[in-house]
Amino acid sequence: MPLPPALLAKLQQRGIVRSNANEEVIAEDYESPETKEKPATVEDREFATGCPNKNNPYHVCVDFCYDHWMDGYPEERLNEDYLYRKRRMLMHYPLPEGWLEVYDAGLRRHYYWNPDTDEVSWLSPRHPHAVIGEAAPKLAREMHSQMRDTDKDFDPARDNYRARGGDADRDRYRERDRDRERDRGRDERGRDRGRDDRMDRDRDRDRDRRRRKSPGQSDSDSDEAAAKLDVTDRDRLKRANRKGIDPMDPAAYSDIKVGKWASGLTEDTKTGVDVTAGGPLFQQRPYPAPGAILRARGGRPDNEDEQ
Amino acid sequence: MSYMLPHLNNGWQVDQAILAEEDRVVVIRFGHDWDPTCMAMDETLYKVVNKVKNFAVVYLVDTTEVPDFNKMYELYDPCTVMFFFRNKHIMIDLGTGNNNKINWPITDGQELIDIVETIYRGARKGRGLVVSPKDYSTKYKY
Repeated sequence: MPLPPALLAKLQQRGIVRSNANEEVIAEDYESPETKEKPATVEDREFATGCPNKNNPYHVCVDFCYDHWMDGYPEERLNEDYLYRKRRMLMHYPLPEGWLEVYDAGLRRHYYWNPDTDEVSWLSPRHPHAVIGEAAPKLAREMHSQMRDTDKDFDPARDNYRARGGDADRDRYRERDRDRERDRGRDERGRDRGRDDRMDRDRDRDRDRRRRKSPGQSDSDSDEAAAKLDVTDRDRLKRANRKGIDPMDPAAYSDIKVGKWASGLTEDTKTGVDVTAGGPLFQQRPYPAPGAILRARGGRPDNEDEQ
Repeated sequence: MSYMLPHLNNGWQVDQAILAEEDRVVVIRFGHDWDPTCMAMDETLYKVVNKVKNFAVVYLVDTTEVPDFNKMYELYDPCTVMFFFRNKHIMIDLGTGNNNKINWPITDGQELIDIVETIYRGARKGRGLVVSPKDYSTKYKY
């Protein structure tokens, strides 16, 4: 059984494993994975290796995560398309000295790790879009302990698993995973295509930034930001469907509020004159004096101080 | 000729300009100095401003600079001329259907003088709606 590259690098850094001859030393270091992966203190966060949500500071891996995800997605079963793209990226932007490729079984992606500086990056560090940052588990741990300090009632495990049924939880996981998969596919395709249109590029870049942060940043808050910043039309339609809004209603695919047929009409007709006047009366409706308008608009005009 | 006529730069100035005139009609042109329609109107206004100075005063308002009244006065046209007397909007029946304002450029100075004078005479008598000496409806054109 080969040593996982991350662990290997760590061991090498500590001098436990020699850089090229690693096979023979493995046996004596079997306990070190435990001590690395799950530090001895009970205070520290533990997570299931395969859990896609493991780096989320609001999430504590429960039994379900261990049972369901186990060791995560095996590397050899990865999508051929993904592997091809990864190879091509590495061909264009080879890894600099000291960087290692590491497979994340939970997220089903390779990331790049520099054991000397302990920095990580989703893309090759030479890639123009690469964002090099701190490792997510570390940050998550920090955030987690911070939250625990500030908020005594904080118990993510309770929120996550016990409150909802296991099934619901599993469904949620599955859906999120599928979403991520789809996102990733779309994104990579967009990058490879050469980005024909600007809108697309901007959206991609946004998503890139958000996703590439995730090894260096907690998943949860980038997810939250994503929900606020970048809601795609498709998501909006989904949401509308959930709320029971007619998909043809502009409220279903844009930011405007849900309204009735006449909603937009009355607001526009709010002029100084009596809009209900019709016929001959229509021609005899005077406008209010400017002073009355200014008073109606809320007292002081905006730039009174210029006087 | 817009540079020869006084501009009002905010809502407060517009209000004060109208309030300050006790006995004269206040003619306000809403629009933009760079607008060709407004340029034509300003030319006429400048032509007559000296002749009507005893009973009317002319101001220009940039609707982008002073957006306060755009909605209330329905200022959608490139050039709009409105008349006020003693802090009251004076309507004028021009035969166009819109009695509130002149929203096309008047090129004849005498016509404009006549309109302003009619407004002054009517408003002095307390009328809120006066009838223009000339009918500007399009029915004679077609």
